[in-house]
Amino acid sequence: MKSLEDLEKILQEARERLRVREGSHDVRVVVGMGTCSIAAGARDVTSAFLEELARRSLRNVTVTQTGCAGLCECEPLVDVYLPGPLGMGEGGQSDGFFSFARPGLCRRRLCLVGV
Amino acid sequence: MVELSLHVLDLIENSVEAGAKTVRVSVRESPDENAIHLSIEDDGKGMDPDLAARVTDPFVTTRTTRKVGLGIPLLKQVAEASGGELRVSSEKGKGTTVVARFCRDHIDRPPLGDMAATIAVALATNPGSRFVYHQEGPGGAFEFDSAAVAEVLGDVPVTDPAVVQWVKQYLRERIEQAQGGGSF
Repeated sequence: MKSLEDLEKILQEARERLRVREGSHDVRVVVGMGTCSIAAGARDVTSAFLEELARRSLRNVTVTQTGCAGLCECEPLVDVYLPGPLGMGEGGQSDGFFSFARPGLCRRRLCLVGV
Repeated sequence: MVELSLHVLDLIENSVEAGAKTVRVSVRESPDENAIHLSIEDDGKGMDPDLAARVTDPFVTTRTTRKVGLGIPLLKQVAEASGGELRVSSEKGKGTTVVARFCRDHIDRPPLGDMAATIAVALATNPGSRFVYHQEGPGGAFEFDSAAVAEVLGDVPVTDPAVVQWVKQYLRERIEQAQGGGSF
């Protein structure tokens, strides 16, 4: 049975990660969480992201939610904000992300928009 | 939606959108009354009586981008289709409470579903809010409070993925216990 004491260990590891995180660029994963998104599976998509991030101890990635974007029929929709042009720079962080979002699993419909 | 817990997540998002600092979710399974009681209570900005009376109408919403708001109407439909009801009470500046009742053994009642995932995802994606989850059933009652977790964590955010996994597992175990072995 899990207890609050188990958190102690997680705490140590998380502090370690926070230290490494300082001064580096963040990747933001924004999942649509409107009524349409949730009905289409946004909760389980978010869960999958969080599980994978925990499993890989990926630093610099935050997962947040946003409302319906008006493309209800395309849900679940996930926006990933990567640092650098198309996220292809900055020390291989984006490489790590793309190996995680592998085709057929998360990359069923991948649309890249340059910033 | 295929699970009651998905409706709950949807209403939690409403609460967060309304600026809630604390969102309280309660699930009470009562086999004796053949009922399941659900409530989502927030301390967000609330609604005036006129709006509160109309939110179960799918063509009423406060957003300006579209003219429909389906979250509450969908849950109301599900509650009524399974021999229950849904009520909204709200006070401007104080918060909003949505309560729903379902007939436990009604064939059209969706299963509770993965409530642990709902709470964990709500917690992970809304760092500004506190979530309190209460469940009771034949196996007993328990309460989870994200503020208690935050206190143990100190400077580490509750949105840390490893913490979120812990919360999900913790809730799964407690929920199973409260259900007394069965699931509904």
